[in-house]
Amino acid sequence: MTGEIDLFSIRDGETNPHEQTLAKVVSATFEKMGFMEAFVSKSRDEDVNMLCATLLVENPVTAKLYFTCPSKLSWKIAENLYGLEELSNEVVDDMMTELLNTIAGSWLSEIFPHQSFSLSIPTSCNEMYHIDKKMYEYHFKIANIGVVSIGLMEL
Amino acid sequence: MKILIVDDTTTARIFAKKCLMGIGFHDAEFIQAKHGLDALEKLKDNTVDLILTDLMMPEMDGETLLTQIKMTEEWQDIPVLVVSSAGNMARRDLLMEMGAMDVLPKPFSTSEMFEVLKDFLEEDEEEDDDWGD
Repeated sequence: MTGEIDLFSIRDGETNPHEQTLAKVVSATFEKMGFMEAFVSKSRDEDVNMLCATLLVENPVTAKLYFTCPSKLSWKIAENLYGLEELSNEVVDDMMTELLNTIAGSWLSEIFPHQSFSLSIPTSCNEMYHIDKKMYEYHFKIANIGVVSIGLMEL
Repeated sequence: MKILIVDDTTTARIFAKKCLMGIGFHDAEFIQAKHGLDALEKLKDNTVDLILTDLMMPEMDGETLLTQIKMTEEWQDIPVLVVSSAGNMARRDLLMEMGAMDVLPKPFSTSEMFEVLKDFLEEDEEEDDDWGD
């Protein structure tokens, strides 16, 4: 791993210094794009119908980001963005990738303000990820409808 | 007034269009492109007054698109607003040197878009008034 900032150097019991930055970015993204409030939450959503998008962080760190959202919440966000008559599965999947792209880009812009970074094009993912010890997961409750999660996995 | 919006997601293009309409470009004709190559094709067929482009896109990214536009005599005066979540301070300086009109970081609100485009909007309104006189 290169660069002065290590996203994965947090020991057990320490507060992740990047969590607050992520909370700020997630809050701004949902407020500006979905017109919804976001609050830090302690756990994942129990809903089994989840949508997922993922992308690779390729530089200056190598990592994979996952974004999961309960289906009912993603349709509500899409409704706010598009209007009811234009909704489809394709539109909701597209919105998931754009939300992840926006969150990932602004988060890394905050963490690496004076350093270039590169991200892959986000894609929808069919399978939910599994948490292991090289992964951090952050949760945000959106407008009391559901909880979205951001998973950061070291590669 | 024709505005070209370049982004690989439908969501971003629709959101940008709604914001542009919200700040006063109600009567504009919006042309959409999914990436830089698509945008260059659209530019060949249309006289465009303003371009909004994302940076990270398949086929051709926004930086390459900006370079191509600024290298082409008939397009180099078209204002290009870069709209990207990856526009940190380091990249912003580079994009401005490359000829971008400004860099609007995602996520953005309608009022933030207005702040960036208010001068352009005023110029457009003045031109409309001149035509009306």
